[in-house]
Amino acid sequence: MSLLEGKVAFVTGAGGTGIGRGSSLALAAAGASVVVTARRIEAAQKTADAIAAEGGTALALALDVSDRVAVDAAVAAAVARFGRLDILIQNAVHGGSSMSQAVEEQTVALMREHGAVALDGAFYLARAAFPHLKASGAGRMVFFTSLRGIKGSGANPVYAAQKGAIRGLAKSLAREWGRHGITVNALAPASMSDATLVYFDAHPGVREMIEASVPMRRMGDGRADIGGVIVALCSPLCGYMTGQTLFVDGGGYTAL
Amino acid sequence: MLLLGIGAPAARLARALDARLVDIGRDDARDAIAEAAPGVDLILFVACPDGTLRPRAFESLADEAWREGVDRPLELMLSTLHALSALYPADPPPMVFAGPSMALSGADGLALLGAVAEGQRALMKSAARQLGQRGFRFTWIAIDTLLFAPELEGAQLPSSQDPDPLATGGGADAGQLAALLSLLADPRAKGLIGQSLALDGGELMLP
Repeated sequence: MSLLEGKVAFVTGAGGTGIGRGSSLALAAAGASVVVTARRIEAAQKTADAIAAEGGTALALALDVSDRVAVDAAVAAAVARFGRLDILIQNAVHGGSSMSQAVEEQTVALMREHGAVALDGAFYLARAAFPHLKASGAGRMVFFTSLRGIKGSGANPVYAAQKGAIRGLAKSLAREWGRHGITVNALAPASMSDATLVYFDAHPGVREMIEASVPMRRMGDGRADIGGVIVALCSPLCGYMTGQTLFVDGGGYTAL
Repeated sequence: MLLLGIGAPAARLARALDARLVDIGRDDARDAIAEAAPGVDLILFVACPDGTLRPRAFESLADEAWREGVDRPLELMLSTLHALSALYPADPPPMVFAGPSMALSGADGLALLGAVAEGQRALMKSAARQLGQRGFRFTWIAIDTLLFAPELEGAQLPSSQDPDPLATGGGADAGQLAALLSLLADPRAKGLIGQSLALDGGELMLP
């Protein structure tokens, strides 16, 4: 029997080429039915089609996580389709979140725009999913944070602040939801994605610099490296691990 | 000492430390900071709104509670950093940002407080990385939660559930905070930047 047989997962930001898609594919390959969400339905459908092509089960939904009504409706649609929700993976971030900027240039309006996705979206999703994760008896919530939220960022303070806040949210939710059998963890990846490709295009030489600093000497793969950890975290194998920040970064950060 | 902030913890700490308080939530906060800042030896920033100090189930939180408890204080911190950056082209005083120690561990019923304090701590580190070369020296103090917010007595704090004793036998007090701030105000502490210091009576002993 597969690790996640009978489970239903909901993944945000799962279009594109990065960790949302990689996580969705890995969860489906482990036996979960996956609700694949992305802002554009075409992108979500592409990931859902890839899951179906491998024999998995997926439902594609268009979802802007900054829209509370849409989040509530998407979670309801997922439960209506599959009858339950066991796993929530919050990966969606603002499309411009990977751009470098000085703190003086980052306006409050920009922080609000990015926060609507990264922070408000996480809040809406967690709140909407809670009753279903509780009913699961073994709910799993995974937030994607970032190394920048832990050691700060010389490139993008707003992104770092929002990823730090997400980590703070994950720790408190882990303490609040543990009694219901729900685990809440944060994962700090170093992986190729649409956002990292944009960043590397804008900053020539940075990819080589990062890869040279990582013991594994490469960026992670969304499915094999990040998705694999997601599957483990969401499986019964990790039912006693909660409130943690996991660095899946090839050994890039080892200070803790 | 100048204290920039909002919420009951800011007001209480300003009184305890005999610091001048500027409410960063007011419309003319930038002007008020510019008027109050000259000559100060240290600037302390504390911005945890009162709504974050009320334990409640996460699923009961309204959209507005999240907006006022997490989004807005982060935005106010960014605005304050803009004001301070413009105010000090050179030779800024040391700046200390502070939140409750519980945010390092999280706490049942206090998701807003945990999220906003950890967000502010990450923003402090990033600002330290960007502005440090201009002489800005930022640090974070994770203040004993019950010193920071006595109204959380009775909340399900990690410290109240920990079977290990506090190293000092009790929590931190305002005198210890004042002493630590004096140390950080000293130019000889200039090598300490972007760090998080737990003033918690020896509870967490961070890894």
